[in-house]
Amino acid sequence: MADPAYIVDGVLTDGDAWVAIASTTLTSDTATVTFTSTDDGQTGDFSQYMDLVAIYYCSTAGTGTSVPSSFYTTVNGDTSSVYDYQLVYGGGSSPSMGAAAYVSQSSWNIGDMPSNGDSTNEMGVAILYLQDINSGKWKAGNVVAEAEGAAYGYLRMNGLIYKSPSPITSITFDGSGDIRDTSSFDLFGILPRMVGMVGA
Amino acid sequence: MAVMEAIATTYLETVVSSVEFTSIPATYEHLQVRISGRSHRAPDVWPGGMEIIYVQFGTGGGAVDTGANYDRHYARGSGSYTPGSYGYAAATYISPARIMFPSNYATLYSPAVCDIYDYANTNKNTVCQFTSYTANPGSTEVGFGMGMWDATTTIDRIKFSMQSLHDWERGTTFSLYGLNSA
Repeated sequence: MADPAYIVDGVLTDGDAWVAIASTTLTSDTATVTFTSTDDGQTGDFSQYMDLVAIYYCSTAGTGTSVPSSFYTTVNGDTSSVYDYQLVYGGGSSPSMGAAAYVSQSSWNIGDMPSNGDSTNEMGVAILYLQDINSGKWKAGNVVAEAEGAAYGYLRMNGLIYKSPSPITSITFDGSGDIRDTSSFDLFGILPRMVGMVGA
Repeated sequence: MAVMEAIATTYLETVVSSVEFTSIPATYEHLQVRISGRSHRAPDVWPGGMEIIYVQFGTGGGAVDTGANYDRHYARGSGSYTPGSYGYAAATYISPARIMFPSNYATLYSPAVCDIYDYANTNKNTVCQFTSYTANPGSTEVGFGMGMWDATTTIDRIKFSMQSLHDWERGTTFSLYGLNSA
């Protein structure tokens, strides 16, 4: 297996720890978007990263008149009941905050996004972090999401658990109905620098 | 020039009371610490609870500042309770995040991210910002917190410990990154 270009004779030559893995912008309404590890030792190989970061700029074809629609994420193609999340949110022009917890779900609902009832120019945004993705731990992370429609607006943060010790090898984005044309998704990997091993 | 450089990753092969990053270069614009951690508290006197991270800063090659020079604020969503927040001033540490307790979900380590802004600017007090998440079978909590070190000196040391001198569990990881500006 050849080393990626930023490793020369086993030495990391590119000091940038934030590596762009994949990006896509939809040219038509699409059911789901999936990024999968290339497992080839190159930039797209998830096994070299400590953390993953996904940036969503998206809307869904969910029904409704300016009603935000749920947006989902799964990993490793797993849709069994192994996803937990805790959210805190704020919305509206008057102070309106709330919290909710969900366990044993078949996906993470990372936040509500603009839908069919909103202008096609209206997109929500989310930034998702998954940490220590190649460890034997259950996988966990956070996501912050925001959406502004004609009749609503909200900000939300979720804590996420994937109850599996498996390394993360793929991530799938799924809307309520199709994900709308021009939605975009970017995936990044964050490299470690293993200089300290306390107690080794 | 790299935008984000990995400075150091520490992986705990054994239980320790604290982790410190020292001799941090002053050459970056901002710092970020990414933690995947849990507590190794013994005895576990509050199985339904969660652990609190303490953060302290140092400068000039010396130990971290243990004086009452830290302010902090923390806001959280827990279960379906109305979100709440609280703050403290003139404390001896910043406590802006919550992590896993030892009796809960043995293979779950809490994710936490700490951003430390403009840490080398000697005209500003240093401010950090945290996100964190912890869970047990009875309750979960997602939180965001901030803290201020009432000092304008350049940070070259960061210490992560826990309330009541509890320990970090084996397998916990800390990664320190430096963020460059244009």
